[in-house]
Amino acid sequence: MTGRAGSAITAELAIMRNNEQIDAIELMGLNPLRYLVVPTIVGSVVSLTILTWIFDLVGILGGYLVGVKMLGLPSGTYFGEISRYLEMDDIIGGVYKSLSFGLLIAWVCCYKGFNTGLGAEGASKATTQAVVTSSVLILIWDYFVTSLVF
Amino acid sequence: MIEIDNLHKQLAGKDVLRGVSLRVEKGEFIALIGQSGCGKSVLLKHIAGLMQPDHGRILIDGEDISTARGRDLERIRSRYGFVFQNGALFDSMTVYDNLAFPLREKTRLNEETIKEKIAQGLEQVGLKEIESLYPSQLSGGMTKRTALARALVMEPEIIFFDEPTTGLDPIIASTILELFNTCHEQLNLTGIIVSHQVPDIFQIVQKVGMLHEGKMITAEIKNGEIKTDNPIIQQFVEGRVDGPVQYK
Repeated sequence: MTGRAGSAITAELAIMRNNEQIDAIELMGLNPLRYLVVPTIVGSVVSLTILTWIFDLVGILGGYLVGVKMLGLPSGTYFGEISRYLEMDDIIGGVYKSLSFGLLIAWVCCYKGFNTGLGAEGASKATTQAVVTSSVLILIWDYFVTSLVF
Repeated sequence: MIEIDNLHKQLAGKDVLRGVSLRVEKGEFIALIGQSGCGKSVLLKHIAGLMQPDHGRILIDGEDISTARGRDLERIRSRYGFVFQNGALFDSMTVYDNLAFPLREKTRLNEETIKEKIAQGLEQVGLKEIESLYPSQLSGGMTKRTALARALVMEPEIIFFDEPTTGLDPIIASTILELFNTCHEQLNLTGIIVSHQVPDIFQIVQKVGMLHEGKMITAEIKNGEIKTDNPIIQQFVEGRVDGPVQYK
Protein backbone atom coordinates (compact mmCIF):
# COMPACT_ATOMS: atom_id res chain seq x y z
CA MET A 1 0.00 0.00 0.00
CA THR A 2 2.77 2.45 0.95
CA GLY A 3 4.92 1.52 -2.04
CA ARG A 4 2.12 1.60 -4.59
CA ALA A 5 -0.55 4.08 -3.45
CA GLY A 6 1.60 6.16 -1.06
CA SER A 7 4.30 6.84 -3.62
CA ALA A 8 1.62 7.74 -6.21
CA ILE A 9 -0.01 10.21 -3.77
CA THR A 10 3.32 11.94 -3.03
CA ALA A 11 4.42 12.02 -6.68
CA GLU A 12 1.08 13.47 -7.85
CA LEU A 13 1.01 16.18 -5.17
CA ALA A 14 4.69 17.01 -5.74
CA ILE A 15 4.10 17.46 -9.47
CA MET A 16 1.01 19.57 -8.76
CA ARG A 17 3.07 21.71 -6.37
CA ASN A 18 5.92 22.16 -8.87
CA ASN A 19 3.51 22.90 -11.75
CA GLU A 20 1.82 25.57 -9.59
CA GLN A 21 -1.52 23.70 -9.71
CA ILE A 22 -1.77 23.90 -5.90
CA ASP A 23 -1.03 27.64 -6.05
CA ALA A 24 -3.79 27.92 -8.68
CA ILE A 25 -6.31 26.35 -6.27
CA GLU A 26 -5.23 28.75 -3.50
CA LEU A 27 -5.55 31.73 -5.85
CA MET A 28 -9.12 30.72 -6.66
CA GLY A 29 -9.79 31.44 -3.00
CA LEU A 30 -10.11 27.73 -2.23
CA ASN A 31 -8.35 25.60 0.36
CA PRO A 32 -6.20 22.95 -1.39
CA LEU A 33 -6.20 20.76 1.72
CA ARG A 34 -9.96 20.30 1.33
CA TYR A 35 -9.69 19.24 -2.31
CA LEU A 36 -6.47 17.26 -2.28
CA VAL A 37 -5.68 16.01 1.23
CA VAL A 38 -9.06 15.27 2.83
CA PRO A 39 -10.31 12.98 -0.01
CA THR A 40 -6.91 11.22 -0.04
CA ILE A 41 -7.01 10.54 3.70
CA VAL A 42 -10.64 9.32 3.61
CA GLY A 43 -9.93 7.16 0.55
CA SER A 44 -6.77 5.71 2.09
CA VAL A 45 -8.44 4.83 5.42
CA VAL A 46 -11.51 3.25 3.76
CA SER A 47 -9.59 1.38 1.07
CA LEU A 48 -6.93 0.03 3.45
CA THR A 49 -9.65 -1.27 5.81
CA ILE A 50 -11.51 -2.97 2.95
CA LEU A 51 -8.24 -4.34 1.54
CA THR A 52 -7.36 -5.77 4.96
CA TRP A 53 -10.68 -7.68 5.03
CA ILE A 54 -10.06 -8.95 1.51
CA PHE A 55 -6.49 -10.00 2.40
CA ASP A 56 -7.79 -11.78 5.54
CA LEU A 57 -10.29 -13.73 3.43
CA VAL A 58 -7.65 -14.51 0.78
CA GLY A 59 -5.32 -15.68 3.58
CA ILE A 60 -7.99 -18.04 4.94
CA LEU A 61 -8.71 -19.29 1.40
CA GLY A 62 -4.97 -19.77 0.74
CA GLY A 63 -4.63 -21.74 3.97
CA TYR A 64 -7.61 -23.87 2.92
CA LEU A 65 -6.05 -24.61 -0.51
CA VAL A 66 -2.70 -25.62 0.99
CA GLY A 67 -3.98 -27.37 4.12
CA VAL A 68 -7.10 -29.08 2.77
CA LYS A 69 -6.53 -29.48 -0.95
CA MET A 70 -2.78 -30.10 -1.02
CA LEU A 71 -1.96 -31.65 2.36
CA GLY A 72 -5.26 -33.52 2.85
CA LEU A 73 -6.39 -31.91 6.13
CA PRO A 74 -10.15 -32.38 6.69
CA SER A 75 -11.97 -29.13 5.91
CA GLY A 76 -14.01 -29.39 9.13
CA THR A 77 -10.81 -29.52 11.15
CA TYR A 78 -9.40 -26.54 9.26
CA PHE A 79 -12.40 -24.27 9.81
CA GLY A 80 -12.96 -25.65 13.32
CA GLU A 81 -9.43 -24.73 14.36
CA ILE A 82 -9.87 -21.29 12.85
CA SER A 83 -13.00 -20.63 14.86
CA ARG A 84 -11.32 -22.05 17.98
CA TYR A 85 -8.24 -19.82 17.82
CA LEU A 86 -9.67 -16.73 16.14
CA GLU A 87 -11.17 -14.26 18.60
CA MET A 88 -13.17 -11.08 18.07
CA ASP A 89 -10.23 -9.09 19.50
CA ASP A 90 -8.10 -10.32 16.57
CA ILE A 91 -10.62 -8.92 14.08
CA ILE A 92 -11.09 -5.64 15.97
CA GLY A 93 -7.32 -5.29 16.34
CA GLY A 94 -6.94 -5.77 12.59
CA VAL A 95 -9.51 -3.09 11.92
CA TYR A 96 -7.80 -0.65 14.30
CA LYS A 97 -4.47 -1.32 12.66
CA SER A 98 -5.76 -0.91 9.11
CA LEU A 99 -7.57 2.33 10.02
CA SER A 100 -4.50 3.83 11.68
CA PHE A 101 -2.11 2.62 8.97
CA GLY A 102 -4.35 4.13 6.28
CA LEU A 103 -4.35 7.46 8.14
CA LEU A 104 -0.61 7.34 8.68
CA ILE A 105 0.27 6.52 5.06
CA ALA A 106 -1.99 9.26 3.63
CA TRP A 107 -0.83 11.83 6.20
CA VAL A 108 2.90 11.26 5.64
CA CYS A 109 2.61 10.97 1.85
CA CYS A 110 0.43 14.10 1.52
CA TYR A 111 2.79 16.07 3.77
CA LYS A 112 5.84 15.05 1.73
CA GLY A 113 4.05 15.80 -1.56
CA PHE A 114 2.89 19.24 -0.39
CA ASN A 115 6.34 20.15 0.92
CA THR A 116 8.39 18.80 -1.96
CA GLY A 117 11.62 20.32 -3.24
CA LEU A 118 11.82 21.91 -6.67
CA GLY A 119 11.97 20.02 -9.96
CA ALA A 120 12.17 16.34 -10.79
CA GLU A 121 14.87 15.78 -8.17
CA GLY A 122 12.72 17.34 -5.45
CA ALA A 123 9.72 15.21 -6.41
CA SER A 124 11.85 12.07 -6.53
CA LYS A 125 13.36 12.75 -3.08
CA ALA A 126 9.93 13.52 -1.62
CA THR A 127 8.53 10.23 -2.95
CA THR A 128 11.43 8.18 -1.56
CA GLN A 129 11.21 9.94 1.82
CA ALA A 130 7.43 9.39 1.94
CA VAL A 131 7.74 5.63 1.34
CA VAL A 132 10.64 5.17 3.79
CA THR A 133 9.07 7.34 6.52
CA SER A 134 5.66 5.66 6.17
CA SER A 135 7.18 2.17 6.28
CA VAL A 136 9.28 2.93 9.38
CA LEU A 137 6.39 4.66 11.16
CA ILE A 138 4.11 1.69 10.38
CA LEU A 139 6.62 -0.68 12.03
CA ILE A 140 6.86 1.55 15.12
CA TRP A 141 3.10 2.20 15.31
CA ASP A 142 2.37 -1.51 14.80
CA TYR A 143 4.39 -2.27 17.93
CA PHE A 144 2.32 0.17 20.02
CA VAL A 145 -1.05 -0.89 18.60
CA THR A 146 -0.20 -4.57 19.13
CA SER A 147 0.81 -3.86 22.74
CA LEU A 148 -2.40 -1.95 23.37
CA VAL A 149 -4.93 -4.18 21.58
CA PHE A 150 -3.62 -7.72 22.10
CA MET B 1 -5.81 49.77 -6.22
CA ILE B 2 -2.62 47.86 -5.34
CA GLU B 3 -0.16 49.59 -3.05
CA ILE B 4 3.16 47.95 -2.22
CA ASP B 5 5.01 49.66 0.57
CA ASN B 6 8.69 49.03 1.43
CA LEU B 7 8.63 45.28 0.78
CA HIS B 8 11.59 43.20 1.94
CA LYS B 9 12.21 39.50 1.38
CA GLN B 10 15.25 37.34 1.94
CA LEU B 11 15.46 33.90 0.31
CA ALA B 12 18.30 31.45 0.96
CA GLY B 13 20.34 34.24 2.54
CA LYS B 14 19.93 36.54 -0.46
CA ASP B 15 18.07 39.85 -0.30
CA VAL B 16 15.63 39.40 -3.20
CA LEU B 17 13.41 42.38 -2.40
CA ARG B 18 15.05 45.36 -0.65
CA GLY B 19 12.37 47.93 -0.03
CA VAL B 20 10.13 47.58 -3.08
CA SER B 21 7.39 50.17 -3.35
CA LEU B 22 4.87 50.37 -6.18
CA ARG B 23 1.40 51.75 -6.78
CA VAL B 24 -1.02 50.37 -9.38
CA GLU B 25 -4.16 52.43 -9.84
CA LYS B 26 -7.57 50.88 -10.52
CA GLY B 27 -7.91 49.98 -14.20
CA GLU B 28 -4.17 50.36 -14.80
CA PHE B 29 -2.03 47.72 -16.53
CA ILE B 30 1.62 47.63 -15.51
CA ALA B 31 4.52 45.60 -16.93
CA LEU B 32 7.03 44.19 -14.47
CA ILE B 33 10.42 43.75 -16.10
CA GLY B 34 13.93 42.92 -14.93
CA GLN B 35 16.81 40.50 -15.25
CA SER B 36 16.11 36.78 -14.99
CA GLY B 37 16.10 35.73 -11.35
CA CYS B 38 15.80 39.29 -10.03
CA GLY B 39 12.62 38.46 -8.07
CA LYS B 40 9.73 39.43 -10.38
CA SER B 41 7.82 36.20 -9.79
CA VAL B 42 8.61 36.42 -6.07
CA LEU B 43 7.08 39.90 -5.99
CA LEU B 44 4.02 38.66 -7.89
CA LYS B 45 3.61 35.78 -5.41
CA HIS B 46 3.74 38.28 -2.54
CA ILE B 47 0.99 40.37 -4.13
CA ALA B 48 -1.04 37.19 -4.67
CA GLY B 49 -0.58 36.25 -0.99
CA LEU B 50 1.32 33.05 -1.82
CA MET B 51 4.42 34.33 0.00
CA GLN B 52 4.75 36.48 3.11
CA PRO B 53 7.24 39.38 3.21
CA ASP B 54 9.87 39.75 5.92
CA HIS B 55 8.91 43.40 6.17
CA GLY B 56 6.51 45.78 4.42
CA ARG B 57 2.87 45.86 3.35
CA ILE B 58 0.77 45.03 0.29
CA LEU B 59 -2.54 46.84 0.33
CA ILE B 60 -5.37 45.76 -1.94
CA ASP B 61 -7.91 48.58 -1.74
CA GLY B 62 -6.64 49.29 1.76
CA GLU B 63 -6.58 45.67 2.98
CA ASP B 64 -3.17 44.20 3.79
CA ILE B 65 -2.95 40.80 2.06
CA SER B 66 0.41 40.00 3.69
CA THR B 67 -1.25 39.74 7.12
CA ALA B 68 -4.64 38.39 5.96
CA ARG B 69 -5.43 34.79 6.94
CA GLY B 70 -8.26 32.30 6.46
CA ARG B 71 -11.49 33.69 5.06
CA ASP B 72 -10.11 37.23 4.73
CA LEU B 73 -7.33 35.94 2.50
CA GLU B 74 -9.78 33.81 0.48
CA ARG B 75 -12.04 36.86 0.02
CA ILE B 76 -9.20 39.03 -1.30
CA ARG B 77 -8.02 36.23 -3.58
CA SER B 78 -11.54 35.82 -4.93
CA ARG B 79 -11.00 39.17 -6.65
CA TYR B 80 -7.90 37.84 -8.42
CA GLY B 81 -7.26 36.10 -11.69
CA PHE B 82 -3.81 34.60 -12.16
CA VAL B 83 -2.30 33.31 -15.39
CA PHE B 84 0.74 31.22 -14.54
CA GLN B 85 3.82 30.89 -16.72
CA ASN B 86 3.00 27.28 -17.65
CA GLY B 87 -0.77 27.71 -17.35
CA ALA B 88 -1.07 25.57 -14.18
CA LEU B 89 -4.09 23.79 -15.64
CA PHE B 90 -5.19 20.74 -13.67
CA ASP B 91 -3.82 17.90 -15.78
CA SER B 92 -6.30 15.32 -14.46
CA MET B 93 -9.24 17.43 -15.74
CA THR B 94 -10.46 18.31 -19.23
CA VAL B 95 -10.45 21.93 -20.41
CA TYR B 96 -14.19 22.09 -19.59
CA ASP B 97 -13.65 20.87 -16.03
CA ASN B 98 -10.68 23.19 -15.57
CA LEU B 99 -12.91 26.17 -16.33
CA ALA B 100 -15.89 24.73 -14.47
CA PHE B 101 -13.92 23.99 -11.28
CA PRO B 102 -13.90 27.53 -9.79
CA LEU B 103 -17.47 28.13 -10.96
CA ARG B 104 -18.73 24.94 -9.30
CA GLU B 105 -16.83 25.58 -6.08
CA LYS B 106 -17.22 29.35 -5.70
CA THR B 107 -20.66 30.04 -7.16
CA ARG B 108 -24.16 28.55 -7.01
CA LEU B 109 -24.64 28.52 -10.77
CA ASN B 110 -26.39 25.51 -12.28
CA GLU B 111 -24.58 23.30 -14.78
CA GLU B 112 -26.45 24.82 -17.75
CA THR B 113 -25.27 28.35 -16.88
CA ILE B 114 -21.74 27.07 -16.22
CA LYS B 115 -21.74 25.47 -19.66
CA GLU B 116 -22.78 28.76 -21.27
CA LYS B 117 -20.14 30.74 -19.34
CA ILE B 118 -17.42 28.29 -20.37
CA ALA B 119 -18.44 28.49 -24.04
CA GLN B 120 -18.38 32.32 -23.81
CA GLY B 121 -15.04 32.26 -21.98
CA LEU B 122 -13.38 30.04 -24.57
CA GLU B 123 -14.83 32.08 -27.43
CA GLN B 124 -13.48 35.25 -25.79
CA VAL B 125 -9.93 33.85 -26.05
CA GLY B 126 -10.49 32.50 -29.55
CA LEU B 127 -10.83 28.80 -28.72
CA LYS B 128 -13.57 26.46 -29.87
CA GLU B 129 -14.40 22.78 -29.50
CA ILE B 130 -11.55 21.98 -27.13
CA GLU B 131 -13.73 21.39 -24.04
CA SER B 132 -13.13 17.64 -24.04
CA LEU B 133 -9.33 17.87 -24.46
CA TYR B 134 -6.87 17.38 -21.61
CA PRO B 135 -4.08 19.96 -20.98
CA SER B 136 -1.46 17.50 -22.27
CA GLN B 137 -3.24 17.59 -25.67
CA LEU B 138 -2.98 21.40 -25.99
CA SER B 139 -0.24 23.42 -27.69
CA GLY B 140 1.64 26.14 -25.77
CA GLY B 141 -0.55 28.93 -27.14
CA MET B 142 -3.77 27.02 -26.46
CA THR B 143 -2.61 26.32 -22.89
CA LYS B 144 -2.01 30.04 -22.25
CA ARG B 145 -5.39 30.96 -23.76
CA THR B 146 -7.15 28.30 -21.71
CA ALA B 147 -5.39 29.56 -18.57
CA LEU B 148 -6.55 33.09 -19.43
CA ALA B 149 -10.10 31.85 -19.99
CA ARG B 150 -10.02 30.09 -16.58
CA ALA B 151 -8.74 33.29 -14.94
CA LEU B 152 -11.45 35.42 -16.61
CA VAL B 153 -14.38 33.06 -16.09
CA MET B 154 -14.70 34.21 -12.46
CA GLU B 155 -14.80 37.85 -13.60
CA PRO B 156 -11.80 39.07 -11.56
CA GLU B 157 -11.10 42.72 -10.78
CA ILE B 158 -7.32 42.26 -10.65
CA ILE B 159 -5.35 40.00 -12.95
CA PHE B 160 -1.74 38.82 -12.88
CA PHE B 161 0.24 37.34 -15.74
CA ASP B 162 3.51 35.58 -15.02
CA GLU B 163 5.56 35.57 -18.24
CA PRO B 164 2.53 34.74 -20.40
CA THR B 165 4.39 34.73 -23.72
CA THR B 166 7.55 32.86 -22.74
CA GLY B 167 8.25 29.94 -25.08
CA LEU B 168 5.74 31.01 -27.73
CA ASP B 169 6.50 31.97 -31.31
CA PRO B 170 6.36 35.74 -32.07
CA ILE B 171 2.99 35.61 -33.84
CA ILE B 172 1.22 33.68 -31.07
CA ALA B 173 2.99 35.88 -28.47
CA SER B 174 1.65 39.04 -30.16
CA THR B 175 -1.81 37.45 -30.44
CA ILE B 176 -1.77 36.67 -26.72
CA LEU B 177 -0.73 40.25 -25.83
CA GLU B 178 -3.46 41.61 -28.10
CA LEU B 179 -5.92 39.34 -26.34
CA PHE B 180 -4.82 40.70 -22.94
CA ASN B 181 -5.27 44.23 -24.23
CA THR B 182 -8.79 43.46 -25.47
CA CYS B 183 -9.71 41.88 -22.13
CA HIS B 184 -8.26 44.86 -20.27
CA GLU B 185 -10.21 47.36 -22.33
CA GLN B 186 -13.48 45.41 -22.24
CA LEU B 187 -13.42 44.46 -18.57
CA ASN B 188 -11.49 47.44 -17.12
CA LEU B 189 -9.17 45.13 -15.22
CA THR B 190 -6.28 46.18 -13.03
CA GLY B 191 -3.30 44.07 -13.98
CA ILE B 192 0.37 43.26 -13.57
CA ILE B 193 2.25 41.47 -16.35
CA VAL B 194 5.66 39.98 -15.72
CA SER B 195 7.31 39.87 -19.12
CA HIS B 196 10.61 39.91 -20.98
CA GLN B 197 8.89 40.85 -24.22
CA VAL B 198 10.14 44.42 -24.50
CA PRO B 199 9.27 46.67 -26.28
CA ASP B 200 6.12 44.79 -27.50
CA ILE B 201 4.68 44.72 -24.00
CA PHE B 202 4.65 48.55 -23.93
CA GLN B 203 1.77 48.53 -26.43
CA ILE B 204 -0.66 47.25 -23.80
CA VAL B 205 0.53 48.82 -20.52
CA GLN B 206 0.43 52.30 -19.02
CA LYS B 207 3.44 51.95 -16.74
CA VAL B 208 6.61 49.89 -16.40
CA GLY B 209 8.19 48.76 -13.15
CA MET B 210 11.73 47.44 -13.37
CA LEU B 211 13.07 45.36 -10.51
CA HIS B 212 16.79 45.92 -10.17
CA GLU B 213 18.94 44.77 -7.25
CA GLY B 214 15.84 44.38 -5.11
CA LYS B 215 14.50 47.90 -5.76
CA MET B 216 11.75 49.15 -8.06
CA ILE B 217 12.30 51.74 -10.77
CA THR B 218 9.20 52.94 -12.61
CA ALA B 219 8.61 54.66 -15.94
CA GLU B 220 5.56 55.93 -17.76
CA ILE B 221 4.43 54.65 -21.16
CA LYS B 222 2.97 57.08 -23.70
CA ASN B 223 1.59 55.81 -27.03
CA GLY B 224 3.47 52.55 -26.71
CA GLU B 225 6.83 54.22 -25.99
CA ILE B 226 8.68 54.32 -22.71
CA LYS B 227 9.42 57.77 -21.28
CA THR B 228 12.46 57.64 -19.02
CA ASP B 229 15.96 58.97 -18.56
CA ASN B 230 16.92 56.18 -16.21
CA PRO B 231 20.07 54.51 -17.66
CA ILE B 232 19.20 51.12 -16.07
CA ILE B 233 15.79 50.91 -17.77
CA GLN B 234 17.21 52.30 -21.01
CA GLN B 235 19.96 49.67 -21.13
CA PHE B 236 17.51 46.85 -20.36
CA VAL B 237 14.95 47.97 -22.94
CA GLU B 238 17.57 48.50 -25.63
CA GLY B 239 19.24 45.18 -24.76
CA ARG B 240 22.72 46.70 -24.56
CA VAL B 241 25.60 44.81 -22.95
CA ASP B 242 27.37 47.99 -21.82
CA GLY B 243 25.78 50.01 -19.07
CA PRO B 244 25.01 50.08 -15.37
CA VAL B 245 23.40 46.61 -15.44
CA GLN B 246 26.19 44.04 -15.27
CA TYR B 247 25.67 40.28 -15.47
CA LYS B 248 27.86 38.39 -13.04
